[in-house]
Amino acid sequence: SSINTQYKVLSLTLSLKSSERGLGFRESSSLSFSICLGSVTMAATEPKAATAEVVKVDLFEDDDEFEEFEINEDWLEKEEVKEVSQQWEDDWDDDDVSDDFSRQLRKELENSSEKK
Amino acid sequence: MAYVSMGEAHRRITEYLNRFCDAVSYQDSSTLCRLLSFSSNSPPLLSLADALNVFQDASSLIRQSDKFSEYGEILAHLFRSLQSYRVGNLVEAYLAFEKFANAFVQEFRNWESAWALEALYVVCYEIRVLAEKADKELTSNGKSPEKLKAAGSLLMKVFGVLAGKGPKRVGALYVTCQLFKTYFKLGTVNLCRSVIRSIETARIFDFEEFPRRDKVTYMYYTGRLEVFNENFPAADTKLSYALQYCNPKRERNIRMILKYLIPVKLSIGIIPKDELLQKYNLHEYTKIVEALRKGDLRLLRHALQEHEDRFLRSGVYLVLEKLELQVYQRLMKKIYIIQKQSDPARAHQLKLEVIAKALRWLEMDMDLDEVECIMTILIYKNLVKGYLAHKSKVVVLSKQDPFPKLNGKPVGS
Repeated sequence: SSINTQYKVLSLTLSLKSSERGLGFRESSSLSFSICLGSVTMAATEPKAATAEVVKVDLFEDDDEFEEFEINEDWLEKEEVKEVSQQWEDDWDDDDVSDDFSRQLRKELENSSEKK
Repeated sequence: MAYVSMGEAHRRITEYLNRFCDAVSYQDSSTLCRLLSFSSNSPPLLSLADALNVFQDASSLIRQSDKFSEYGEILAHLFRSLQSYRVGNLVEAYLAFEKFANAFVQEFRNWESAWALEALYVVCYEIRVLAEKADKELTSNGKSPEKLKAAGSLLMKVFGVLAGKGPKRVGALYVTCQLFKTYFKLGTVNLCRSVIRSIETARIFDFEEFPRRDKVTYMYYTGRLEVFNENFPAADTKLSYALQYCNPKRERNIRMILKYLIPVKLSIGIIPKDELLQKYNLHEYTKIVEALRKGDLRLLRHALQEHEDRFLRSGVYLVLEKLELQVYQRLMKKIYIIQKQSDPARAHQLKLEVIAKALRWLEMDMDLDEVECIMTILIYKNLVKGYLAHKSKVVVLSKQDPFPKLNGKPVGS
């Protein structure tokens, strides 16, 4: 769904915001253009235009409408709640290159140098 | 519809009228709530509706007694709405309920204490839900839907009634959330702005005073708006609040919060553990997380493609797509570490050629100019510390911390 075209242009990254009523909830769509030396990758083109159509018709749906709490619904903060909050990792960006992907990458890079 | 005799119909209607008027006189909010919850389709309400449709002239019953006629206008509209609701005329049901709601709100204004707040909540909920049904009926008849929009106006009016110094003000957040649901459904989310401003800046409101369930709902919707506006730190704060304080038994709600929180967390360099994705059935993010962990640009592309529709519908597609730069960073870091292991002396020099080979392996064909461009962007966004030696076609990495972590801040901030 992305279009890659070859141009020789200076490297720029532009963010355009377009406001279009018909897009409903996605009223302001952020179009990211990465214009690089030699490559233009356009996000939000044809496929999204088609989806905009769907969004228009589907204005009766917000897929993610929060369920109503009961009028007197109340709850205690349980351990479980805190557990959910602790399901994130911020130290994943380590120096480990023993995984499959890294090993294949190494092989690929070593092959290239051999070919030279 | 069950057969009801005139006598039985008379009995049912009178019973309801008594219940209603007693509830008001004795300030019995929970009874009043039950009497107004059309959407609950409770047997007593349905049997009342049948009675009304048989009796046809409930107004005469109301007029006959001083007790009932005090709330004559309110009850007349309410009955008409219920009758229409029962036979499936949802537009008529909405119109009558709207009149009922207006009349009810007038009375509510006059009641000094906040005893009827919960009943008001029910009215707000019912008006929104009825409006949605009415609009569905309109569109199915080829007409233009406009009732939900009208319900929005009415809800704003209710908000205005509650936005005062008295005890009724704690109800304002519930109405705000009904407005959010209305505007999100209509796609007119820009209208959320004014009510958010009132809640967050008006001196009469103290956010902590509001009921927790309303605060959670509020943070969920305002968090979503922050995602939409790409204010990731703010989105993180609000959605995390909603997550932390949401009733843990409400798994569907938790899932919804995570659906928006995960892209935000990814954008600030924090990833969800696999157990979290499993538990709440958020498999659409599995490959994206994996791609980021590995530095696998090809996998990221596939992951975005595979669930493109879903991501587009929820509006997180662009947020996820922008993760590409972070995946590039991870890949560069891996190349650097791998090089360092075989040739530590020259590891801080990344040849564009080598990078291009890696990218080609990941099915991304680029010439050296394009690779140089990507590296320029990564340096500009502070994802890579170093500089480009253009003539020698090499990226010279800083010896210290060449791949700075995001540390909870979005890229390029």
